[in-house]
Amino acid sequence: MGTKTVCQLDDLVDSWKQRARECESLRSNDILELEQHLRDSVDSLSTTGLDIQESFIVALHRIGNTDQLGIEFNKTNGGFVWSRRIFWMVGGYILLMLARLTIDAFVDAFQLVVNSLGLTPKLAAILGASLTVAIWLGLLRLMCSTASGSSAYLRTRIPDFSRWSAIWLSASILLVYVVAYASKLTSHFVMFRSLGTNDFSQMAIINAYFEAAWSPLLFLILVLTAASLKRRVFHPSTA
Amino acid sequence: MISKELVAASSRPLILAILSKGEDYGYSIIQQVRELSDNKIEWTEGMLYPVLHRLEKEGLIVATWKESDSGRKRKYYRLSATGGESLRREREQWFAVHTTLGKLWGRRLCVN
Repeated sequence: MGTKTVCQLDDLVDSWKQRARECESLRSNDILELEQHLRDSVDSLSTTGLDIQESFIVALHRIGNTDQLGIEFNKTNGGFVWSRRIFWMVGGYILLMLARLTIDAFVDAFQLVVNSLGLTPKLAAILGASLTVAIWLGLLRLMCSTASGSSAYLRTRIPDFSRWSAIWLSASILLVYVVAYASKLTSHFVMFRSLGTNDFSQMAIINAYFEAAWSPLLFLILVLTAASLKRRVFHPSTA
Repeated sequence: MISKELVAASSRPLILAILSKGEDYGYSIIQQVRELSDNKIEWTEGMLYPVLHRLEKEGLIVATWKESDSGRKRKYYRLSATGGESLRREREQWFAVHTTLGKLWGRRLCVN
């Protein structure tokens, strides 16, 4: 095979690999094994007089489309699929915590600069709040376009990141927000109605201390969980 | 052409029987099945791998990644001791079906 045809085959195989990576139940080792199969098949077909493109189309047809493969592989890779989902869900929550801290620190620094420029505190506060909203909306847009498959920005920069990662990551953040805020609103409403003002504020102070102690611990637990899942996701036992 | 159901049912004994002759990889297994069956057994090639992985999980075959002569990284499979035992049982069962059909249809049809 000449250099030109080798490059042409590499391009075709790369575009197939991109599609295969979008399939949730295929592990990196499965894709590698199927890739070798495709290449073997193309090698053998190209000796029958077909050109590289034609050989690749026939090889692809013989190996089956990625949706079909996904269904079959899902039967044996069920455990791995859930490890990967939970990994990105936990990862999503860790990223959310880090993003909140980073954005808050960035906006604080921004407000400090704005204040030093002599703007009124009201204007500085409005600018700071607008910046916060703009950053969060930007992140949301990036996540939505990754989940819908229209943006490859995150997929090409983070290993093993697919549109499914974005979907599970966003789902976990949404779930955490909905559950946490619903329970917080309900409990605060009930306590505010049933407790006196002093008792309520005393409780709020104790809760704040507890939260300050618990948050780093929760962060550590999540990082450890993600680290243990990472081994299963990135280095499957069959390697 | 052999029906999908029969192709699926025969995939395990076929894989085990081919691997009993020695270590091999997916593409080569499919080529051998195609040749031996005179193109009558046709697998959707990608579907072979989930079956191989299931056999591997059951401990019937063992897999190792190796570099092939062409420098490509390939996953080779070989039969384990449990796999050999399973193949022996499969053989008995398939021969029982074969013999029964042979008695019903006459020897010639079964041989062909």
